[in-house]
Amino acid sequence: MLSDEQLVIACLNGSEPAFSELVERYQQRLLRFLLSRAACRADAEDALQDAFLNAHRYLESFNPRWRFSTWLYRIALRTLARQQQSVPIDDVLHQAGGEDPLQACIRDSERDNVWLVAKARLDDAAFTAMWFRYVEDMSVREVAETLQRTVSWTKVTLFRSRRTLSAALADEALPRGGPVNEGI
Amino acid sequence: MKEFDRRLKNDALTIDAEVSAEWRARMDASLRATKRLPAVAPQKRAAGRLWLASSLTGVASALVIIAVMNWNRHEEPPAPEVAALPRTVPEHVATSPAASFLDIRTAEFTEPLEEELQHLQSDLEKARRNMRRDLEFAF
Repeated sequence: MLSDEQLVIACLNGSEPAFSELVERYQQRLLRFLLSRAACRADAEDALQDAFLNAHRYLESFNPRWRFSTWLYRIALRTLARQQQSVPIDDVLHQAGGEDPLQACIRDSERDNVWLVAKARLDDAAFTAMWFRYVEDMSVREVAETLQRTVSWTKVTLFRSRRTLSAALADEALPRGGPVNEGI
Repeated sequence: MKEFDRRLKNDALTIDAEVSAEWRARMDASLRATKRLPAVAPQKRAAGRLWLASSLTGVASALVIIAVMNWNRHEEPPAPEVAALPRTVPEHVATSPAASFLDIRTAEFTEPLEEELQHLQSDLEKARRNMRRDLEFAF
């Protein structure tokens, strides 16, 4: 099985199926991330398509010092930011009846999904940092490079976000009227 | 902590992110229509040119500042030549045969004035003393 970078080289040498393979590998992962950030599913799918098209268009500019996934996520973040600049997310949510697309995409579960809690409690940058670190398994340095932040900022944000989420989940797990654990 | 990390990952996987066949067909069609752009290398060359231009500007401005400072600098007057002090001992005395046993020195013309000043000061002191004594007698 070829690595992502080998597929990029194959694509640069003229193999179009190589890029289709890359799309196949990343479409679900990237859509999952975009669904967590976009205003609705249609926006997330549009951003996904634009991200892949931009990656294909600028493939010659791909720097091999990056991992392909890091580069692709950076493109996706820019695409999403451009999309949200043109149409504010609040407007889209209002048109969609206020339904959170992430909520709509989560399969029924006995307990609350931690990413729904994260979306409610964390800001966009902290949410994205957490997603890249714990879902995409990026290193702290890769997260920092993708978000164009410092490593220190990333470490601090990850630490605080984890603490916030842990506290929020502990609060929700408590039975009504039960004792408040102030140690968390 | 490990459990929390696992939960973060597992909960992400519960998000339904299956792409539809229509999306995939649209994607493939768009890819076929997209042309690849050349690498963005000119940015590096532009950055190099910018560096060169800023360096040249810096050097040129430094030269201008040096030139302006030199232009405004006042011409200092040349130092006067040190004139030889006139000899106070006349030539004919210095070269006379008696000069070998005479202790010839330059005349100190300020000495009488200093003596005169001291005399005046002592006179003034005396006058002050006399006046104080007279005042004591009067009252």
